[in-house]
Amino acid sequence: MTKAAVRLSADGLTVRFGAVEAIAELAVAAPAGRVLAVLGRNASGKSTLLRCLAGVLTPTAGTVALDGRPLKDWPRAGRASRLGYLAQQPQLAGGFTVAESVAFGGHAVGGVAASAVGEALATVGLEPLADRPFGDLSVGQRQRAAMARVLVQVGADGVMILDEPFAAQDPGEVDRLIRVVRARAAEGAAVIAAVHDATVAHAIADDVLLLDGGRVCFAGAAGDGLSPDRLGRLFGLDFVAGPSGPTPRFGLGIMPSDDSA
Amino acid sequence: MSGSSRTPRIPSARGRGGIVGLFLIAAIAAGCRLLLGRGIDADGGATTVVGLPEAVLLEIRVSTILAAATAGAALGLSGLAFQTLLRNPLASPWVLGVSSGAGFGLMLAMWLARLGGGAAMVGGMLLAGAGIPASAIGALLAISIVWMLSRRLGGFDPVGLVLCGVVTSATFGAGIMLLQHLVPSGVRGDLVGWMMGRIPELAPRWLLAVAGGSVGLVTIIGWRASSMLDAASLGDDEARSIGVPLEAMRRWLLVLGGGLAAIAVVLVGPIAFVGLLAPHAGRRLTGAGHRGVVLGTVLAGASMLLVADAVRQVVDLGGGRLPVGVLTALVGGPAFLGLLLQGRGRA
Repeated sequence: MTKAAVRLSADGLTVRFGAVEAIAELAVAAPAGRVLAVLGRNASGKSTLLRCLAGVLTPTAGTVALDGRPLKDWPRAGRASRLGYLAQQPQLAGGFTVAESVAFGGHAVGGVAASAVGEALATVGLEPLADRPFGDLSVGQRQRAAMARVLVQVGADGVMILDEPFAAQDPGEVDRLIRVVRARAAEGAAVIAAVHDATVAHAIADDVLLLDGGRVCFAGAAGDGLSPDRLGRLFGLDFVAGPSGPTPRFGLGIMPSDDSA
Repeated sequence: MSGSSRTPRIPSARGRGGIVGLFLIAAIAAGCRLLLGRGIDADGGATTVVGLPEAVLLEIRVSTILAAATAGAALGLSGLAFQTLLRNPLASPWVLGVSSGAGFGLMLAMWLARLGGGAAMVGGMLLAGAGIPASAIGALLAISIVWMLSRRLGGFDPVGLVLCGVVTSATFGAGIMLLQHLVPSGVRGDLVGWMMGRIPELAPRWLLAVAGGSVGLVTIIGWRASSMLDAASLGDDEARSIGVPLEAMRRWLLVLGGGLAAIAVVLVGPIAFVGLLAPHAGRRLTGAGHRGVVLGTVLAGASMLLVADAVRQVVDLGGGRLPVGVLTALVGGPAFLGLLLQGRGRA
């Protein structure tokens, strides 16, 4: 395999909220055409890391670079058309429709064709709800609408930062989103996604980053990172190897000592 | 080409209908006000007179109509700016303490004017032009305090701003009460009338021009920035990620909203509920996009004060014409409660 160009990279990322250190000295690289899954227990710093990578949270220390250029040096439109972000809890005030929420993806470049909005909505399975108010959607549907917005926002080879868009979806929709993400990666997109479910990570990821208490405890190929043994230690729970990747054995495993979330 | 198909329904057919409807309401109310006045009947009692008056009275009525329409539009736009800024459908110029700041400025000038010596000279200057300088300085002082406080608290985040506004408002309110003890009651009577809200019958032309020009300018800015205001309806992180300069936008909203509120307070006193309700009326009648909402809010705010001023020409409960601020509060309070109960969760 030839080494793909790194689209998004971060070095020495540290974020402190007051006295609390959310993430410390993190380094991340997202090459074109690959999907990086970020796993970790609740409050392990996944969302903080993703917000820094998306350029919506300024880190206390460290830098993030998009195509080799620090995020802060990018013009607004150029950055927005290359780097998209899906928040864990998408919000939209003011009675806009689902289609309008997707069209916001073209804000920085002055607009987006209505056909592109329709196409993106069809991709995430929300076309029938295009003219419904965004506020009427369920959490899972909102996340898919936000996914459609990101698809419209960044080109096929853009960088997508996805903060756990899978957890609130039914299995059919999880499968749809996995296929959407893999298709984008096949077109050259670099994807970084926070994932809770090891089987989803197994299906989607080329590489994994395991976070524990705001620090990296593993970074490397998905095949190595998603071993039952490693996941067992990370989550304090028994995992067995299954046909769809490592599977937690709920209700029998070693209970975790403390979950701060 | 891509720009042409962007947000295709803003303003929608419904939005255009709402804007036309609001314009008609404003025009009809202005027409009624032009023809309505107070006169003396055969028995020497006050009564309502209908018809075009002579030139002098006509000029007064036209000036009153312009003042009411401009102040209503300014209050509406100010409320819209604060509601967008704070992402809070309950925000209004009142939340930021602008009204109590203006009242405090006026009270302070009256108190100074009674002291004698240099203080009296300063107080007299502040009270020139019906106290316009005093109330304007008070209003701007309140905005500056809220601005500096929220900066110190780490930026212009909506919750912090509301807290700063409430604290500022309460502090100026306490200042007003303190000064009331020190100002003779004869002078205080004027203040009570002003605090209730009154539409000036012959406002200085320069003041009407400044107010009208400001409303026009902010309307154009709002119209031009409407797609950014729309996109800013997303969550903060999402809005930033699609390229909305959120911090700069909020600074502008604070300055423009605060400035318009100060102008409105100078013109008509601290009239409640128009700044709160006009943006809601604008949204309801024109839809979600800010392109329509900005125009709708301007027209709704102007209509509210024009209708209130026309109604008070014919309603006499025995004590003369009702103060316009009392009328807007009497109608606005219950209307706002209804809004709250009906549209919870929808901003």
